Amino acid sequence: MPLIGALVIKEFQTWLRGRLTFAAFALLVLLVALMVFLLGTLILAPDANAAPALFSTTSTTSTNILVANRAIFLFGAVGLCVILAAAVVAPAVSASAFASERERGTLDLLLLQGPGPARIVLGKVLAALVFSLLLLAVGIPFFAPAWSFGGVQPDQVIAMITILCTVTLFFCALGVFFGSLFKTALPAALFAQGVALFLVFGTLGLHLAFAILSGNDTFRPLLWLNPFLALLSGGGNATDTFARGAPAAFRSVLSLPPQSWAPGLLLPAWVIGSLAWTALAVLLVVGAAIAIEPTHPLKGSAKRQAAR
Amino acid sequence: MVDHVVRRFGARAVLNGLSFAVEANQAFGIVGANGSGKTVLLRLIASLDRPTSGRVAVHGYDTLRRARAVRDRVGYLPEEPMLYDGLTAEQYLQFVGRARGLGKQVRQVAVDTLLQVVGLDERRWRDVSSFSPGERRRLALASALVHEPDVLLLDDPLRGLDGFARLEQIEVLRELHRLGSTMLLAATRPEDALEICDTIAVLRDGAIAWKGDDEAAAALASPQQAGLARVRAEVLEGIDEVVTLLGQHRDISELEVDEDGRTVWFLFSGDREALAGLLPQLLRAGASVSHFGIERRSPAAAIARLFHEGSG
Repeated sequence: MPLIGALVIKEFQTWLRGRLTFAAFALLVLLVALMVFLLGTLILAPDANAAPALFSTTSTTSTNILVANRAIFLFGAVGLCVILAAAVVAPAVSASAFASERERGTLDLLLLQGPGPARIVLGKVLAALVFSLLLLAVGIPFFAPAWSFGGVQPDQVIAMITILCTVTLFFCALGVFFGSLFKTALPAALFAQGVALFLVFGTLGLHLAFAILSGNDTFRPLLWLNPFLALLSGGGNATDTFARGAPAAFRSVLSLPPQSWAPGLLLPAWVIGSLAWTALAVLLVVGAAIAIEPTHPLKGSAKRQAAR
Repeated sequence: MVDHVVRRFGARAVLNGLSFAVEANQAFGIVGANGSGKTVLLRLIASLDRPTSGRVAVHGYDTLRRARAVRDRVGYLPEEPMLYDGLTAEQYLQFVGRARGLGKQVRQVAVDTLLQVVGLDERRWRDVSSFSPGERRRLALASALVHEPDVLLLDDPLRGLDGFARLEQIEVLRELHRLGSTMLLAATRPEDALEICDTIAVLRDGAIAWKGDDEAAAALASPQQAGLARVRAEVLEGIDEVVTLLGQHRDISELEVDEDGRTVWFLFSGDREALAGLLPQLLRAGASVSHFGIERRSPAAAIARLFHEGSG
């Protein structure tokens, strides 16, 4: 895989020399800090001295559940912020990195290196993934308050890291895919961000709108692709209890039950989501590879049809 | 090998049944006016584009079916160098070598050698964005050579270069040819191709309009029959009168006016005295002539005239 390694190194050499990178780092720190502050206030504000619900025999209100599990909710809140940042940053980074190759005319240079378009696309996706994760690493210090409360389990950390890596991979593939379709970086980045934000907010909104207005469940399958809900499913008992305490219309949405895919194999929503994002990322890589290969047979048949 | 290649963009056929073959170790120059399809042709050979119909093969590998094999064997220098601003020359060539799968030591040797060959050794740690057009072109040439390609595709490699930079680039390309590289060089200026190539072809209306070597180009510039003299006249005023007068003269043939609308060329079959008597006739007809004399057309100028001849 020489081309992939070369691309990753080259991308870092160019990105790390640009002032824009440092501006992006600074902006991201500020944005994540602001979001974490706001969500942290929401979680910690209710009543810091309330008796934890886990030790209460009477109260199971949302407030008590929040207070009792403030560590896990704070942990999840920071996770939400980082995923939201990923939905904005990763598609933009990858789309502009790829579209700019076309703008500069260097896509031909990459194609001429021989190993094929799939490796070019894969190299770009991996470079953008590593770079985006590096950018998102600015969120790590914000997890500190959650740790200080205690109670976050290793499986919840694993779920969070898996979701973050796979959904960022999908966002990067999305960016590269649109970068391969558009001739300039701006529309490619905007389209990719649009789809990423639809995944984060749109899937939830679309399902809720149809469910509440017409009792229609058509868009429910899209919820499995929502990273926020996947993150919630990784919260274990605390988020399940929280979902049960939510209003009826939101209850089924907030708790996506584990699915049995094989005898004895029960997959939680975050695993299903991670597998789906990875599979979609592979499809997008294949699509982008076809889009950039000028000699691909599909392009020949499209050209012949256009000629007719 | 280019076999009956047609490349259309919409209704316009840029290449229209083009066929030719380049032998191993040959330096083949394709010359033509801007927009004649030279770049399209090179991109087809480099498997960076699909022909509408026809077939292109490099070393027997079809550019559509065996694109990877073709790309492994060609080095392509595009008209606009494909460089990454933000990388140094060393980093750029290291990237190309790494992408080509060269090992660390082989890569370093290749980078060092190529930077010396193209004269950029002392600029290796400079950001390529600070390079002059000539330096950018030489670095792009070095990157096309990293994997020691069998065939070099050069798209106007001397364009925009003048003086010392042009001479340096010519010397590098000649040396590559001497070392046995097979070259296909596209150029807008025939003199660029004549400097380097042993065979020249004129691309016009999507097909080869003329093909020949240095001698054929020289013959093209000379009058076709013995006893003929090619005469050039620079007319400052009264070009219409000059053309009318000369057109009626029985010893004059192949009367042409250059695109500048001032330079008149013709073949004269009479003796020297008759030619000397022509100038006073032109002046009496009211023309103002700044130059009048026998001249050989340069081979490059003769080839350039073929760019538009007979085209609609």
